[in-house]
Amino acid sequence: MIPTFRKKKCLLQALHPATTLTLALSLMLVSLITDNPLFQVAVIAATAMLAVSAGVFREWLSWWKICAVVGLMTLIINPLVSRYGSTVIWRGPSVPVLGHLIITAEAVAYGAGMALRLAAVIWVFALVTLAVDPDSVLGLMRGRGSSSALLSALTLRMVPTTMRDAGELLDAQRSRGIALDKGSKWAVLKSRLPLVKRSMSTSLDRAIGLAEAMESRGYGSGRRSRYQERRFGLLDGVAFTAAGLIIAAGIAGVAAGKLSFRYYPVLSMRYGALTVVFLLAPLIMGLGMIIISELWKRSNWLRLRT
Amino acid sequence: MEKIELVEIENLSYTYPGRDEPALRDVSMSLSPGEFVLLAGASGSGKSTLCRAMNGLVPHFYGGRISGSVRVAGIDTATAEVRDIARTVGMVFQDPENQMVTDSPVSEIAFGLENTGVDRLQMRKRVEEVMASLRLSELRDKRITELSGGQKQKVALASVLAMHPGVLVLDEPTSQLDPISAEDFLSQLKSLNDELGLVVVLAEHRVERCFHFADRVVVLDGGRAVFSGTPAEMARWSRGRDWAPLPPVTRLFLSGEQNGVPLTVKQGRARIAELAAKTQEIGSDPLTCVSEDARVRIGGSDLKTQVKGSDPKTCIYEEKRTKAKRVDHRTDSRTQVKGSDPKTCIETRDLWYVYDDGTEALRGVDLTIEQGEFVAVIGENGSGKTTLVRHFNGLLRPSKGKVLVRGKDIKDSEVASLAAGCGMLGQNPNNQLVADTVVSELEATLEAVGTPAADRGRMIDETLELLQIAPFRDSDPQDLSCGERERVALASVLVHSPGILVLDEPTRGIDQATKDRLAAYLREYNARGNTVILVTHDLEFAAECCERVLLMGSGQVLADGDKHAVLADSLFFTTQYNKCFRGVAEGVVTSREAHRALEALS
Repeated sequence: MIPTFRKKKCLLQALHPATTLTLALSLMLVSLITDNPLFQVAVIAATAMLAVSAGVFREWLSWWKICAVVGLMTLIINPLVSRYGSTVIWRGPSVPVLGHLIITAEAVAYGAGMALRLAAVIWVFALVTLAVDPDSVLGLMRGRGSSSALLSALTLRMVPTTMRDAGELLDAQRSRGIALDKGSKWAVLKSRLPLVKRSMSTSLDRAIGLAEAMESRGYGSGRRSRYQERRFGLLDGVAFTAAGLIIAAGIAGVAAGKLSFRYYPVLSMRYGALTVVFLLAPLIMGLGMIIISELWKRSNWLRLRT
Repeated sequence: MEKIELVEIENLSYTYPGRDEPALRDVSMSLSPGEFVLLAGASGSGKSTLCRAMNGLVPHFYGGRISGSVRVAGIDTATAEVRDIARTVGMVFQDPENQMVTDSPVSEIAFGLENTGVDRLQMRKRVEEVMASLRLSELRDKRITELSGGQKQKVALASVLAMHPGVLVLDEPTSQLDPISAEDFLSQLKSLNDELGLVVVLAEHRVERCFHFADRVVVLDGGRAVFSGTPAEMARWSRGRDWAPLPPVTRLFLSGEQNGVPLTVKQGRARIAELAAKTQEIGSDPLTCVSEDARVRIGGSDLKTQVKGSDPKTCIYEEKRTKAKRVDHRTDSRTQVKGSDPKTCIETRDLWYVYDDGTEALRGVDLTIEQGEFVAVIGENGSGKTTLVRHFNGLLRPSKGKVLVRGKDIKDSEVASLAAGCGMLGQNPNNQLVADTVVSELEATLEAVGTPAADRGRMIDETLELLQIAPFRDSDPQDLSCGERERVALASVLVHSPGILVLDEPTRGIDQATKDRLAAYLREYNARGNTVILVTHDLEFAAECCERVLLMGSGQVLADGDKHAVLADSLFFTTQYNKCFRGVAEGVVTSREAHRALEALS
């Protein structure tokens, strides 16, 4: 079961949703613009610190399985399809579509770097899922954006229900003696196929029920007003500044070549004193958020300015 | 002075798209401000369709063919804007899960207000007001997924109430709630009706929960409104009819009383007290009267052992005992069973179950169920009922402790292999139905449990006959009515005659007639020596069917024993009959017992 948002008393949830989203986007952005694997690690560590400050570290960490699956696939596929790199570590036979298989150390390293980047992006996404109230994101949207946001919020909300429905369906069949997990993978798939129809039908029934409930409360009947009107506070300013600094550090590091990391044709990294500064930027931000968050919990003065 | 009608329905007929038979036929009715109207009728009688016609979902949402008119506060729902109808008519649906759009109670309550463009200040005022009035303020910071069914239904009610509707339409809102949550929900509804003058239209199968609240009852049958009048008039109208949606207390007095049939437990109790006083006045001991009835017994040595704290002289029990020898279940089973008794069907020893989120659903349950028993498991939502029975066929594995089925620890047994001995019907019968025809549905079960092909035809025919679904043998289960689907789902479990049958909330959302049929099937199945375990909120149904009742709370067994002992000892988890006879004749829980007791008093 994938954990989702739960309300907690923490700074990250008290901030304006736009602020939290900006903070998350800044981490995602710098992860995408830099190739340096050390910087990716720093981004993941900063995200972990934000998760700690939001009190969702355990749930955040549970996303490692998704990161591992996606990362492993990248790590396997990239060396198989990439022909770049000068350090050949294995020459294989010729296979259809891929041609001659040549695995290079650089291609493996590039796959690992990409896996880290994907993990960073997934973990930032996990943080948003766990720490940002989907309803407050819905409140940010206007016009067509609000429909998409509502759809996303509904989808997220219905995930546990749909999973529960599917579980109940499987249990009902097992209770009749139907072995759904026995035999070859094909046999397992075949035994589950009839359930897809039922599962779709249940989801459709729920969708119709939901649509009825929405229409009966006037959804889609004209201009909407908004209940939530969050204002930006002092700490939103601090968080925006932190997000800006991270982006600036990422861009400056790449532009100055202090964060450059080349995978091909041979692995090479330029580094100097500034490299450490750029690498520390996300970590300092993460640590700062933990400290401010703890202060926020203890200080009425800060809470009133959020 | 001319009477102002808030809802006017004139000659309304409606047919769903793709259907030939109309769901509503020439329905006419009008509702005055402040009226509380109960819509009653069998499944498929048109209650839900009529509810949807009042708020414009029929025909706006469903399409179809409509004739006649529905006017609410002067608005014709067939032609008016959805926004205008939504402001006038609020609707609460059956399944709370399907009507929550957002993930927090506050946003959910504000949702309708946002849709209709109410300004923020006004919105804030209304949201806070309904939260306070429905006592939802403490749920403000919870997520919808964290709420109980009753709390979700209250949020749904609040979300329509915030829109300040003149008419509140509710389609079986308590069908998924336990008795206490349902009572709480309906009481709040009644107070809204009393204090705010809202028109309340409530469609409900479980009339005993709300009959006494209604100013008017409208009975639908085959899409027609066959009766409209006060509850008292409804009781008179019901005399001599095979079936009418009446609460048990009213049904009890229906044949004897000529005037003023009691409509509430309070009235029923008063009438019984009156009868008891008269009997004493004429010098006849009511107990003697009862003892003259050959089919009931007063006191008796075997009863003394079962009813704790009750005077055996005032006990009225059915003489018929289906079990020759019964275990006194009140005794701690830990002291009873250490080895495995050959008669023991299911046994749990110090059973604990903890869900992934840390919820301790079962906390040290010790339980023994013998072959051939009919057991009801009752208790509020979240008390651990379903969690307990899901251990009996291995769907859940104990976090700690043991589950023994026929003396064998099932910790390593697969669910599919246990199914041959323990059939289970879950809360949603639709989950059972995946094949294209009724016969293939039953064949799938027989094939799965390894029944020889030569026997399958006979077994299928017998089961179809037993459950009276033979005419539908080649039909697609999805095309059948709710009650028929319920029977097909039951047939898919019963077809291989499992020695243990577990049913989880089988009466949810079904009408009284279907319920009576189901009770008859289950009794017959039990009479063949099979064990039947029933998880239910329907205490009347439990009392009519079962011999033994298990009351659960907070993951523990709070009471376990003969149904008379457990139900009579409970203030809330008991039947209307028991509430009526309390203090006059202890231990009356079933319809038959109540009738005998009443005859004796009369």
